[in-house]
Amino acid sequence: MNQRLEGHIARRYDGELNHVHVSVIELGGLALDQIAKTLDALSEREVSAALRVLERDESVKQLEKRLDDEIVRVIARRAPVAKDLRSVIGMAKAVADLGHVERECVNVAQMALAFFDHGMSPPPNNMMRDIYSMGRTAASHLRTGLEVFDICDLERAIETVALRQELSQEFQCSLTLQKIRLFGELMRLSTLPGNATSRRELLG
Amino acid sequence: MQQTALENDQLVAPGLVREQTGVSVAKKERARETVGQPFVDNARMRCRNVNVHYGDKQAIRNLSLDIGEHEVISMIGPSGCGKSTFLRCLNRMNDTIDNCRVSGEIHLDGQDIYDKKADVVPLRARVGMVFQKPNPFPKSIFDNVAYGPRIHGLAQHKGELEHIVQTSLTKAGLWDEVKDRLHQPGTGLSGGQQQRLCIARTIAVSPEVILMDEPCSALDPIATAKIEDLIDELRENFTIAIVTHSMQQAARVSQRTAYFHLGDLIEVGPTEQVFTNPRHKLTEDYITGRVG
Repeated sequence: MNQRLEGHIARRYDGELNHVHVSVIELGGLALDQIAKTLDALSEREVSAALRVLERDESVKQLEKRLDDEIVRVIARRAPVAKDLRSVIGMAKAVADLGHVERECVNVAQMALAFFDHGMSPPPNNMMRDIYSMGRTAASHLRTGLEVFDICDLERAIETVALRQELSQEFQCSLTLQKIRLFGELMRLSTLPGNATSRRELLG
Repeated sequence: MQQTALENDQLVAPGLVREQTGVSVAKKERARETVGQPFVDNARMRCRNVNVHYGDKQAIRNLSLDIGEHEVISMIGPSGCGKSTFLRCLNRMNDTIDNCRVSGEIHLDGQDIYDKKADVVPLRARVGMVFQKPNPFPKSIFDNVAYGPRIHGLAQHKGELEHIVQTSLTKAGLWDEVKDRLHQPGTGLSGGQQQRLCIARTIAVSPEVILMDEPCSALDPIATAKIEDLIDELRENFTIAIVTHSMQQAARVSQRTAYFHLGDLIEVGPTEQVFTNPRHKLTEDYITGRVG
């Protein structure tokens, strides 16, 4: 039980809030697993991992929908205020963010299938390494966020938020690098005759 | 300030010390410092170091609070915390209770309402009150509203009295519903209409402050919504202090909220802040429905 959410005179309210909390952690665990499988699909060229991500999409979406419904029910029935209100709103935002993670995983998994199963040319290895590294960093950050959320550790939460700026800069640098490489690759392809298909694939 | 209040609470667990040693009792009797913003620049009523005793029992401890002009301030807290007692101090309704002693200062527009020379009759016209249960007089709707202006001599002739009655009923949002039956008994109206009639009766004597003691607790949600809407409109012309057990009502109608606990004013602040991020643990425990 989460001490932050319990202690209500109406004990059923404790149960409702804790159930939402546990379900958010469950959704977070699924999202982390989806990221791991997606990265495997990209880095190890594992078609089965990409397929597993797509297979699990429906169950993740269902959990997301169930959580949305539960949060609306808690708001309607309990009219939470103060820290309960902040917790419920925080959990609603977390569900939306984790849903976003899931959709991105599905996008990347579909891309991995296109590269490794449908014959589309994958990006160069150095780009793939960078993407993998960015994915690992994001997953690690998400894992920390979920741990902090689970145990309601304020100090670690502040540290984690402070890391966001650093992480964001790192991402921007990586993205810039990717763009430069992409541009270089395009320039290289443009000098070769008969490579229009590859150029189109590179541009997506 | 907040830290001090929290430290006090750690020293004295609420509700646990009444039967303990003299040291603990002494600690309990010390008033808790109020967290937040009890004072405002445009105060209509200023209360300083107010203590209220019923016989030996202290109901309010060293309370200081301003009630600002054209604001609705809600007072919340568990039963027996002193919020209604404090409200009744504001127009000296406690004078009617034999063993009630009020000390400290309560000023209305700079005048001490507990001054020995102060007359409570004009005071209660300036500081009107609406009670939990609608209590119309057993008279017609017209006479209910006209009663105050008549005894205070506010109308010079019949036309003026009729104007006051119509204006008051309009401000109370009741005119359209009763204009064709002004001479029927007020007690024949529905509960919500009776309460709005009582509000019309209160505002007919042009008070500066209106005190409301759980005005909607006997009403259904539709009548409650009408009264809440009315409170919002009345704010333009009056200062309103409302005691309510409904946290949502306090959140909906007031600009400032004061939380009372065991005779202490624990926290006062802007309503949105009190209900989203209260500064005192006791406030948070109460409004979130935890054992305080």
